[in-house]
Amino acid sequence: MVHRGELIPAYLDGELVGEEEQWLEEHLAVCARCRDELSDLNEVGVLLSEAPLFSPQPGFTARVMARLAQKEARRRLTRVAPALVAVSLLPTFLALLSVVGLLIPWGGTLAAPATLIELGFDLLLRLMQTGTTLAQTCSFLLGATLGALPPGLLLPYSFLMLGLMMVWAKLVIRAPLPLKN
Amino acid sequence: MPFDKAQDREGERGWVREALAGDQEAFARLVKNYQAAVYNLAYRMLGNAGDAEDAAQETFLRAYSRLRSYDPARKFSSWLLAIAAHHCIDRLRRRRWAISLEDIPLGRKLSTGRDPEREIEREEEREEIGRLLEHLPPAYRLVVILYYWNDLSCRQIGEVMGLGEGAVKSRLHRARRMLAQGLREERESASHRSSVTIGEAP
Repeated sequence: MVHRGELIPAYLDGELVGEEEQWLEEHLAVCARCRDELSDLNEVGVLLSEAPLFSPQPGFTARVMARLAQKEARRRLTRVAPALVAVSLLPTFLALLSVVGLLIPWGGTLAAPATLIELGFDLLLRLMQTGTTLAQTCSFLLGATLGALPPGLLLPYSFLMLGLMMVWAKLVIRAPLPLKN
Repeated sequence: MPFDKAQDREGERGWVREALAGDQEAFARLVKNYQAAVYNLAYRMLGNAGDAEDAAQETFLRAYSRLRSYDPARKFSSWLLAIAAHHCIDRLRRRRWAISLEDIPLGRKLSTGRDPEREIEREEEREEIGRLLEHLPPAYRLVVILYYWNDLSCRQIGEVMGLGEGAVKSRLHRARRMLAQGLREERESASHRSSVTIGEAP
């Protein structure tokens, strides 16, 4: 059997009905301890419901929205950054390979790669050759471009290309971005 | 609490939809509406204005990036307050390793007992209950805050904290009991102090 005092919380929240309520009230009439407990708990409830709601300093919404805008800008940048890094790393990588290929005047491949080390060498040599070829192609294209342009137009042409790239980057950054899931 | 009426809740759902479509104004309206509820929770949980401001801002930023996971069938305020509650609990956990000066409870204001006016006493008790609340374990404090300031039902608090309704009820009751005990002790020591003061007076 439950002690009648255990019904106090339910009584406070107005959840006791009929018989149970009567049962507790009878007990309260004779038990000073439970009466004290009820009045203490009741007072705590009243004090809590009267306690003030703290509000933030004025301008809270604006501060949140400013932080949000900052975060969004950073998120867009992180979306563009990998592409930019890849685009700038690719020519560097190719150029490095071709430089190595040019420095070592060692043309042919090994006759029959027997060990894993020899196979690695073979692969490296092929890569170097490819790099050299790529570098030659690039220099050929560059030479052709420069040759096609009248000497006075080289600088304006470079600026135009730079400007177009900046416009492209700006468009990517400002494009609306759907929310993350 | 705002949005108790079905009509208002419909308007609120519209704001959420608009915010999801990228309308920042709509999200700003949600922030404006719930700033006090979220800030008060953070303040009562963390105990100082600086941390409360930061935690409340962080709550809205998180809500924005998780807006897609909000289920419109649920009350928006419960969803938002759950984010706030978890963030505050996380902060308190981190704090255990880096105790800032603000966490050390300041010396209690001595109540002199000289002013007989009941209203002033009442005001002091209201402040007192706020201070006592800070000494409750966070999980109990959270239940009290959500119940008394955010007007959530025990079932809704259960949803926020991942507890059953019964567990919330028993926590709420134990929290009230701890507060009642604290209040009683406070009163006894206050009356003791005032009697000493009177005794020392020439």
